[in-house]
Amino acid sequence: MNAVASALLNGAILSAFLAAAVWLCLRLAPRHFLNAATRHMVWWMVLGITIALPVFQLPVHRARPAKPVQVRLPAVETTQTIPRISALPAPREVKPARPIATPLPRLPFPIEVPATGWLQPILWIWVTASALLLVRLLIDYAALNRRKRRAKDVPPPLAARAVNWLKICGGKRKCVRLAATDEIDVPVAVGPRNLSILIPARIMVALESGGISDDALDQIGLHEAAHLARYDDYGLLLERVIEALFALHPVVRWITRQIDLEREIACDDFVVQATLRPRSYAGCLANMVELCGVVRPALGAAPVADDLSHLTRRVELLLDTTRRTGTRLLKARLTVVIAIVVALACLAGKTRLVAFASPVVQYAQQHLGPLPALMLPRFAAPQQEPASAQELEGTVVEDSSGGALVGAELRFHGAGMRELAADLETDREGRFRAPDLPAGEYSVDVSKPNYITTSFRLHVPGVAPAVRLIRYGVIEGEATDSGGRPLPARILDQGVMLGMARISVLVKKPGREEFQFLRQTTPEDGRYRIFDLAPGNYALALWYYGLKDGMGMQFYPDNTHPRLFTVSGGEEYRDINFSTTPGLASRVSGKIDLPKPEMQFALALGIPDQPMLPIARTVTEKDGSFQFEKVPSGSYDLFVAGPTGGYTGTEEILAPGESFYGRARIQVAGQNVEGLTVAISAARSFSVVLRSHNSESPEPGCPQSAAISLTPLEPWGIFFPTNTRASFAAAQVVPNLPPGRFRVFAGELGSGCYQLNPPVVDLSSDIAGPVAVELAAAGSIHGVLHAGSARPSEFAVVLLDAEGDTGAEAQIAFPDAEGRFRFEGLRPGRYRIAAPPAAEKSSRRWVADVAHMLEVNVPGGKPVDVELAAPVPAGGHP
Amino acid sequence: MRVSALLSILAGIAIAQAPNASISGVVRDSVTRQPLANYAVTTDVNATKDAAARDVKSITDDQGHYTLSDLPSGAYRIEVNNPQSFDHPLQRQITLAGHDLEGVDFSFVMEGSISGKVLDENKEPVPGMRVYLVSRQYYLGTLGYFLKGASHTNDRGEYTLSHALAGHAYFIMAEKNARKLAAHSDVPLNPKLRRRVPMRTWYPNVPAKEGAAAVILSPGERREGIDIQVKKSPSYCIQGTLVTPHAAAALNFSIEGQQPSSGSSGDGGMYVMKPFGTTSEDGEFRICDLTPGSYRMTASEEAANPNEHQPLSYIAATIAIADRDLSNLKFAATPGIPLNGEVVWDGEPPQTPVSASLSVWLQPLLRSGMGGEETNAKSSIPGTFTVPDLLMDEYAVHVFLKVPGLYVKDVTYGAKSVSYAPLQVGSDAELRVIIGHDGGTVRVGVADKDGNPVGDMRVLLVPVEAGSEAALQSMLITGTTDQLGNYTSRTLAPGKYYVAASSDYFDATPESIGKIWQSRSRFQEVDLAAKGSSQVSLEPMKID
Repeated sequence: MNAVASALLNGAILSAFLAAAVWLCLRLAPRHFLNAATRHMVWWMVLGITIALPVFQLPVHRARPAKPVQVRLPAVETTQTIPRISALPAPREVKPARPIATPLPRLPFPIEVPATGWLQPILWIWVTASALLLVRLLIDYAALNRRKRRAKDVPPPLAARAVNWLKICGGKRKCVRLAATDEIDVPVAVGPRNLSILIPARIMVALESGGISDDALDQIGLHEAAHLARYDDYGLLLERVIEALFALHPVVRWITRQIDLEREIACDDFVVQATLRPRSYAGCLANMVELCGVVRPALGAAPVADDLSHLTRRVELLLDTTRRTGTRLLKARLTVVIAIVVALACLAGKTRLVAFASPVVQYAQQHLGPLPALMLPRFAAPQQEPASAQELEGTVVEDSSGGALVGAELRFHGAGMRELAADLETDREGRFRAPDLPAGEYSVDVSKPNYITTSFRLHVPGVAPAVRLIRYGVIEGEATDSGGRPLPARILDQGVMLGMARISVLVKKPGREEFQFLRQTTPEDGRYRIFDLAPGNYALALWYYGLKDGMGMQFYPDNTHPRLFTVSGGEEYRDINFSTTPGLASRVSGKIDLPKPEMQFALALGIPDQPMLPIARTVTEKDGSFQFEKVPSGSYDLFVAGPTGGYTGTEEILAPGESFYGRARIQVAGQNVEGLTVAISAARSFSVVLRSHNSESPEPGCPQSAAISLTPLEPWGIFFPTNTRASFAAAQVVPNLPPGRFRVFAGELGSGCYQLNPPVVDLSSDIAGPVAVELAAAGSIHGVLHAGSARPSEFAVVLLDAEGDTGAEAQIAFPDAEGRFRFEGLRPGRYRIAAPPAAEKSSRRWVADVAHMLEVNVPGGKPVDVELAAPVPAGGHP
Repeated sequence: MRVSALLSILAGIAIAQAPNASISGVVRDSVTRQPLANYAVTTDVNATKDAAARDVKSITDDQGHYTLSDLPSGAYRIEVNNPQSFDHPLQRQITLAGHDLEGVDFSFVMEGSISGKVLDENKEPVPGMRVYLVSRQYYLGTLGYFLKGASHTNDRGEYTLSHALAGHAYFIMAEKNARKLAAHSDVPLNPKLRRRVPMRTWYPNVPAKEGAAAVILSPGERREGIDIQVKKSPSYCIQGTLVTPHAAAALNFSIEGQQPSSGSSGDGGMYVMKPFGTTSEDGEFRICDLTPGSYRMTASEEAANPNEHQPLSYIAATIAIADRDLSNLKFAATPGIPLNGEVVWDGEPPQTPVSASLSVWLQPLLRSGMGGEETNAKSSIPGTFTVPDLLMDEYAVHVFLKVPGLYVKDVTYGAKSVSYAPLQVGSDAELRVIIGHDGGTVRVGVADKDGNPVGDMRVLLVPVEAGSEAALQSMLITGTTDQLGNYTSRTLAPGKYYVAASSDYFDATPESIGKIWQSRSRFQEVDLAAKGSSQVSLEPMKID
């Protein structure tokens, strides 16, 4: 009795090592080396050996004591005895070796089970458990047959499909019955007599109501038919009997679970092979779980959806494109693996120390040179790759059209790596493939000219990302004079600009009242094309002077109702044409009382409430007189600033030293305005100080001082140089300014610090106390996506930088199972956010309409919490 | 200003003893003969030692008509400018003798434009590429490729290169646009993991300039469809350290492909924004996305106030990329060195000492001048001069000497003549400017077969000693006849010259210079005696 118990125990221990070794082998082997069908067979083999090993451990079959191998060591004589290893090469030239200091550990194996009293009860429990399980198996089997008989046949077209499924799966079996019953929870294939596929009645109902698609039924049916084609009904029966007989054998139980998993994956492979749509099938499996609930597998039949841990693994494998998905048994590779397993088993059966062979290896390496690969504790497949290398595949499409984007650049930054982990480009189908990407976290930038660069964080291995790039908007048209001739871009005289025409782009940023000047473009031959507009709202204006038609600034289509061009991605506004109008042009002239003779002052005419661009500029003559030609009728602000000290391409520059300013409102009504005198006065100033959001000292990452720059909110037509540095410590004076309105910006803040809501100062009246420029460390968004009935992982959260100067940044985050997502390191300011479907096949745009995206204010410093609701999918699952 | 201008006018009157007169005419398109409105016609009343020049300007009206009034008698160079462009003014020499001149008309050769698309290997348009107008021409004794214009592709990959001269052979080159470089590029270390990058590609779709096809425009032509499909190459990296004579420091660096590159070309330079960056604090850099070819890398350690002081140290190095990365490069930036110079007489000094001075300008050849950089020097004749802080680089040497009877015979640096060759600063050699005082002038009168004077003719003077096309281009002296068919050269070294007058267009391209080289035997030969003045009568000839 105790001999049997010892054999069982020792066999179980050895088989546990064997199973672990095989499991490790299969896990480490690249997924394209073996398919599931082959792995299924390997596990059956291991099961067989596991059952057989106790037999080898019985006294009759105990291995003979190992013969000592004589190793002659020239320098040091040892009397070490090492086990006989048939695979060892003949001793070659032996190098002198250090004597082995520590004696080889001797492990107490095999374990001798003493003949004690508790052995018998254990064996009785075993036998009872086996008997009960066998009885239960019989009952289950009978019940299943009963259900099979009671199940209702499906309509003939569906029944014909079942036969077709079996045919697609191949094999010798030809006939199968498809039936529906409400006595089962999951679809099952039942054999071995009267082959049937049973479908839960609720699936049939869902099929009729459109809850699941015809495709899904095909996929389920194919899976079940694959079981029958593979004769899994026989296999399953045998497996369950073995399970029952070895009821208390933990290794057998574990191996059968591996067999279960590989069997299901093998059948999944049939489905994938037939449909070529692994993603769709993965979705179908998930649907099945939703529809049928998670269930324990029936003992006598193979269900399509089994328990959750298996399901996760199956979905993961389905989505792994690198894996071998064939359905045929790979005989050659199976032979290799079987050879390894048998070798291991022989070792297990004959040696005393197989699993603890490292001292042997160590000794042999020291004394005998390299060992054959088989002996080394490594069981990798022929193609050896870094254990953690993963292949990642994904797609990049255009958001507005859904079309594949070729040549999009993907840059993978790994944490703590100086160089990119991968620098890729999409192919003609918009696909990219990153081979050998070590597992871990990456931040990925996706860029392509004409598109907003998009970045996101990615975990490898993980879901294949499907990125939608947002195309810039385009506005194009012509600018002509009143005679229909193209406007000249510039009129030069020996390098001096006498006149010019520009198309100015103004942007209305969220949370701001005024249009902000973004950029200007020069029409060439009267044609212009602006092609880098990020999602947002824009207006366009033509600005010209020194032309035949005089000067002016015209919004499109007119100055009273500027048109707002909304860009969500990919819009093209064509024929946005401008034409200058000569109208009633008047001369505006006058004089300035110069503070000192020969000073030159710059003058600009601006339209009130159109802050950015003057419609005309000029400079004073030596006596302080000035004139503007061809001024259209209207109301204007006249701005005077000086003395000047040079000019840039578009404006004068103030001379260093004391400045003087003046301003006046003038009316032009079709007649010359002459004899204007504009009073000028000394410059004004204000003081500025840095502040943190809630304190008077800098936040972490923010500097102690910052450069201050001013953007005039009125068209003074002159550049105001400011050299002031503001600090947290004391208020600094910004001198030499005109009586006008300015927005105050802080610069040189470093990479992690930003300015919050730049303040506006109005110097037309006195300002009490210093103006605070608020700085904050980078902000972050912590959000939760509520996806309703769908899974949050089906969505991507898209964050558009709506306010940045480039206006061209997008970030994506993929929410986790609970819908949580985050964006870190954000410039404080206003952002637009949305959660569109992320699925590869979804044609839903990420940015359908900027106006309907949620606006988020990120104050910087502490994270902002955002709750998002996912959009309701239009047609079932995205 | 006003007072001095007035003085100048008074001086003019006093000298000429004749009333002021005007010059008028019409500016037309050379091909369509349409009048050109809004063109600025300018001249200046000659500047004298005591009075600055006075600009006289007239803008053509809708009939293309202009009038320059109130001009004292004398010689004028009249210039017409296209109002859309800074370059290529049209010039005529006019001698005014107290009475109004009418019918001084200008035939403006309209500039052309070249446009097309830049496509990638998938025939997709490539936005943001830079497309260059390139000229192959002689300069400082060698034949090189020079940038003459640039444009960017738009979102549809389209570009337009304007201001292309008619009759000039241009090549078109597309290149990925310059951008800011990181100190340490993040391109993967393993070359196999790198993306292939676009390389310089020439029309028609060739990676080497030797295979490029020339585009020649007729006046005012708008050539379309000059499409370029950019080639791609494996990406290579260079990695190394830039050191300064002081402690380790962060240096500003830039890198640019060679031939063509930014720089001077003898007839106006072009300077484009190069890819640039700043090394790490210890001077380390790694630059990637380079394709096979020759590059010029420059680095400088900026002074505290870069507008007022030139770099503390500077290096310009040539790097050749073949088919692999270059690692552990080490470049040492050096501070400027003093360049001492000497102005000496050729042979015996003249009997009467010369009170005037000359100035020397060392023009950086492959870059624009930097803030605070001083490469000018002034010297008496004879005398010495010093450029105190000259950065180690390549320069063209210009000597400005406006003294009748004197000419620059040669300029040497060490044992090498740098009159017609670049000056490579490196040794502690001295710059020697050798001045001759035995120079003479050549007076040319051009008339047609019937003896009528022909104005507006290009006069070419080729020293007989010019032994190659490249030397000919360097030593060629040109001028234009006035309305009376007359031209007088500046002071020239005595010796033999080939002289010709032609109305043909020519430039520094080998096509043009080759024609002059071939036909110089048909020129008239003049032997200019020491301190002599030779008179030559020419008939206009075809140079082909």
